[in-house]
Amino acid sequence: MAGAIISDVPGKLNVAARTLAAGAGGYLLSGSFAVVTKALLPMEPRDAGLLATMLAFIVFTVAVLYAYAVSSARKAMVGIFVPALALFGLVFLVGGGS
Amino acid sequence: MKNGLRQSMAWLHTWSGLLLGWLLFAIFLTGTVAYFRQEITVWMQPETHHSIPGPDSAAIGMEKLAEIAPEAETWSISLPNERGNTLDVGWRNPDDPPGRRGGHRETLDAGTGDVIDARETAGGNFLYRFHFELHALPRNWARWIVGVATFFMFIAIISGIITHKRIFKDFFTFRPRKGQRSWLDMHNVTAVMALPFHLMITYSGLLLFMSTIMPFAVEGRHRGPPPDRGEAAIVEVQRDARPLTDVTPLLQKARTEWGQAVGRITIYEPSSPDAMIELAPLRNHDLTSHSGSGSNGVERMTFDGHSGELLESTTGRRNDSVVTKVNNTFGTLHRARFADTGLRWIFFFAGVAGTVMVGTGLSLWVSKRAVKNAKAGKASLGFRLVERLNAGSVAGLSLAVTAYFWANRLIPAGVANRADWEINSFLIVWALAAVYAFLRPVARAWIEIAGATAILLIGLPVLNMVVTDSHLFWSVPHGQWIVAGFDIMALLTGICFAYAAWVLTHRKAAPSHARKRPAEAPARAVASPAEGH
Repeated sequence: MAGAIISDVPGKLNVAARTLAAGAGGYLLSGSFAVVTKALLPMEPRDAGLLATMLAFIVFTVAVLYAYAVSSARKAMVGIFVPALALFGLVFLVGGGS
Repeated sequence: MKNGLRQSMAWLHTWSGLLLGWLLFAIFLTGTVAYFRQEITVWMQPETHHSIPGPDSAAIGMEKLAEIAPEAETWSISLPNERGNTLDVGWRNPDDPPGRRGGHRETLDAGTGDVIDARETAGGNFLYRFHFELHALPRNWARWIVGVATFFMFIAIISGIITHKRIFKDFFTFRPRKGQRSWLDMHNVTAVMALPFHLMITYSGLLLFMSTIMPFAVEGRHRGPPPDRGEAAIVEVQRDARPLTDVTPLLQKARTEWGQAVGRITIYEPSSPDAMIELAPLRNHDLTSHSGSGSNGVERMTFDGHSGELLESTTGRRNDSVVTKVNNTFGTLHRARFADTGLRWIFFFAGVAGTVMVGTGLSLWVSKRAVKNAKAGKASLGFRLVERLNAGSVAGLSLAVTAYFWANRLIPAGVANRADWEINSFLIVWALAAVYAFLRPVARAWIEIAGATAILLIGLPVLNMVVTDSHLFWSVPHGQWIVAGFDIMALLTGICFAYAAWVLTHRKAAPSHARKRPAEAPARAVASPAEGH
């Protein structure tokens, strides 16, 4: 079963890269998403934070699924870390986690 | 491509489920049992079993408080209900330190008002706490560990849904198969039948942990200013010797207003001319509002303590936003505090389904690989480790919880730190079972641990008969269904374990059959690759 996604590249490295993208990348992506979304939502900060966090868990989940679903580990890394870092940059633009 | 997606999701399902599967099993099992934590605590204090509530329980509580706490500035009475048969009274004297721990408490017989000296017990509360804070770990670490496990569970569920292509068909047209149920059947059945529950319970579990595991956008919980009762303590309280009004008509009034029984009575300044009686409903039956601490509802009715005149009636409902209400709803659903006993049973059985789903999932991982290993003639270290850990964690935990209840009955009532010893018994038995699983052939370990669990569970009502006088032959005729319900559930669960042990032994006893079984597994996997694990 595992063969389907690790046949093209060295197996353990492939899985490790996808897991890094899923775990660290997914967490960075969803955490940044929560902060940025909170800043953009036109509602009370408390509600905005709550809604953004509720959605962030979904974003994290989708990121993890994506990391293992795409055809290569490279796609997984790029597809998650690029938006994650972009959103992380926006965190400073919207004024940090407060 | 579609097939590729299914395969990669099957892989993700397998590993996200396996990695922390043993922990998820423990979380699911203790959480499921914790739906009845109050009832379990009742069972674990047999001294309280003869307390049989009557219509005058509230008045009995008031009388007793007037007798034992005449100087108090507040009294509180938790009335007996479908989840507890005693009167739990508390009071606070003017010189008591503020805060939750500053008061005094007693458990009273709801029929006679006598103080009950119940044994110290960790009760259902230990299992409830273990469910999300484990044991003996710094609280924040434990919450992180359980939070990460919860996220793994969520990933396993979503990837499992994607993998399982017949999900909607299975959900609406479930037909039990005629043949012997395999692990796969049981895994799918328990997963699909209670899928809405699994999704709800896991996602809401994540939300309950949000300030620990995803705190970046979360504002601190808004706490309103504490109720202002400070002045009364400063001003010299005027004494008023008149007895308080009869609470029975007040309870009646509140019951009519709320459509449910009163759970708690609080009396402010019981001995002053300004005495006030405040009633709170038993449950928070509004899904969207946060009930704060405890399980009482948010509505309040306040009466003059002497005239019995209604002073104020509040719904307690804050003007919460939609987002807050949605978040509250997830939390309320998770804890099922709104649920009456009937609905609580449905949550319980959904939780049982989840527990079985995780347990059979873990077994599936092993039985799938056992085929390959049998062909190759050797097993990897990882395989052998998982195989043993499964027996120790799945069967072993069941044994440990049972041992916890035995310890409750066997440790003498007066022993110091006996609540700790109940918990220690649980931990020691779990550890011993885990070690045992490594020492015995794995199939034997399963049978023996499951068999021991069966014997101890079935023996629990028997033990209860020997060491207490509130056994089934007493509790059923006296209508003490909390006590009887526990014994009956122990008996039924014990029979399930005995059946499981019997099935496992049966397989073992027929080696030719056992040989054949592994060959069936891949055949089925080929027949429905989407169900693969």
